[in-house]
Amino acid sequence: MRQSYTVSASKQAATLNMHESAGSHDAREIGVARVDDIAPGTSKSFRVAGREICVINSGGRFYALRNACPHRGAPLCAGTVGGTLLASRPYEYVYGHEGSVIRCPWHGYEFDLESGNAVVRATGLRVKTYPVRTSDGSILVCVERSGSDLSREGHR
Amino acid sequence: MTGEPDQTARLTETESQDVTGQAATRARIVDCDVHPHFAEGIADLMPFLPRRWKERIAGSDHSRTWAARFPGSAYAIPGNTIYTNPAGAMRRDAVHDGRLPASDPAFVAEQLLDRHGIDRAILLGGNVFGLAALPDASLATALASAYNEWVTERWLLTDKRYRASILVAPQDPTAAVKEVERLHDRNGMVQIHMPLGDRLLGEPQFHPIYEAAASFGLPVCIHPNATEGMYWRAPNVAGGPPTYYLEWVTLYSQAFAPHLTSLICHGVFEQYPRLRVVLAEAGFAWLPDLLWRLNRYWTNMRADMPNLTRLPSEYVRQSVRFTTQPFPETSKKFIRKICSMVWADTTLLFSSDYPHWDFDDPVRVLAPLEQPVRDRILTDNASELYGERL
Repeated sequence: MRQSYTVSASKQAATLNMHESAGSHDAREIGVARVDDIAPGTSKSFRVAGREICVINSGGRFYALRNACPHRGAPLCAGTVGGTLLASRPYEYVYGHEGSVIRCPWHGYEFDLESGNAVVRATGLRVKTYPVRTSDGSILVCVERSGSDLSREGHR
Repeated sequence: MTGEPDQTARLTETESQDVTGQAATRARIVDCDVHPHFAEGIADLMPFLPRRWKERIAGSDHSRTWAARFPGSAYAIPGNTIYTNPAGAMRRDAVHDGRLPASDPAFVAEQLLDRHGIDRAILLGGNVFGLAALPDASLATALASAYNEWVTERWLLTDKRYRASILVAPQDPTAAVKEVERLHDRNGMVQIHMPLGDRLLGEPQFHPIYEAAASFGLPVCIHPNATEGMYWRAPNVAGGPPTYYLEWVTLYSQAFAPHLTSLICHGVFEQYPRLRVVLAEAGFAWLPDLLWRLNRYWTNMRADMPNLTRLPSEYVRQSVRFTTQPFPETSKKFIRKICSMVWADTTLLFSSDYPHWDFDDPVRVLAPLEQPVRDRILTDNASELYGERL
């Protein structure tokens, strides 16, 4: 279900008939796959301009995040997407944020897919997320030309 | 004890073989806590069990039948059936081809050994920790024997980087000694795995096991049993049974302080100075407080144990080793302090606990430590402990 691809910008332009579009002079959008390649409820990882990025289709909405947990480096693409228990009174169990939380496959840390923030904010952990959109059936991920996400270590 | 080959001499021998190129390169990273799992539950042991036990375990047709699904119809090794980890008890990426985590030696070799540069993985059976909670000592002994054959055939023979632990049933120490005598010189066996029950390890009925272990140069390893607080014969949880997995998993390291204290106070390390005991997944940050108390109280209460000739803490430094996982996750400053307080350069052995959810990576978790201590924990302490068996 989950696969890994290497996508270079040049190959991208050829195979997907896409162009790098200049979001700003410091960022660029890169097509990584066709929308149909990542079905709802699945994810795939791509090597994009020096970063390993996990693209997730959660209920038809796409998210892109660095494929390395900021805690211990586990591949987040092997994790699971779901909701989480909301803060509540003792012995009350209120489920929420369905489809917008990813749980790390190793130690089970949870991250918000949109912001990248750990659900337990006290950890101070945040996974790098990337703007993503679809256009003409392609999934476009926006990465900075240079950035701290190019370093090997995760982010805090 | 006499007759045990000197560990230092063994190491020297291994190194000299390396120089001549006749032996494999000395291990660089040793992972001292890896858990192979049965692919089909207790049925994996069937080929290795005598007929009597096959029938008792799975019904008279020797197979996995309806019997396994009804209470009172088939045996199971006691395990954790009442506390559930809401975040998952296994690494999700350890599921491979729909097979259970760590049930395929080839995939474990790829995902754990190759990917993390681990040269030796010491196996402790993931399905057998609760063995000591079985009230039937004969059955427990038979299961231990069958497990030892299973791990040899399914794991040791498939990859030369695996090492195994001789499983014994502490319910019957005489039978346990026989099992150690049967397997002590089998290639790949590096230690004895003694599941914990409700009796503390210093008690005299266990001493024959320590005598055998010391004479064969086999460390005795103890590990959490996944049955703490759940069975009469399992280790207790002080205070009473917790409600949630989080409480249970946080607290199960409690059991190790009484066992360690018992070994010291019964004079086991004085009687068997060659014996080494490995506390796996027991934690170690609790150790300084325990040793301060023991040292302090022993100085004026030694009348109960006049055979002790040294401070309790000195026995620990000499004879006891601790695996690292779950390694403390706090500031570099605190980690270094804790490690120096427990003599990490002598006592700690790296472990990953693969494939469990709280897996530790050999590079990341030890990063706060200085290189010489890291090397000791990743390699040298294990080499010195296990000698040529490694």
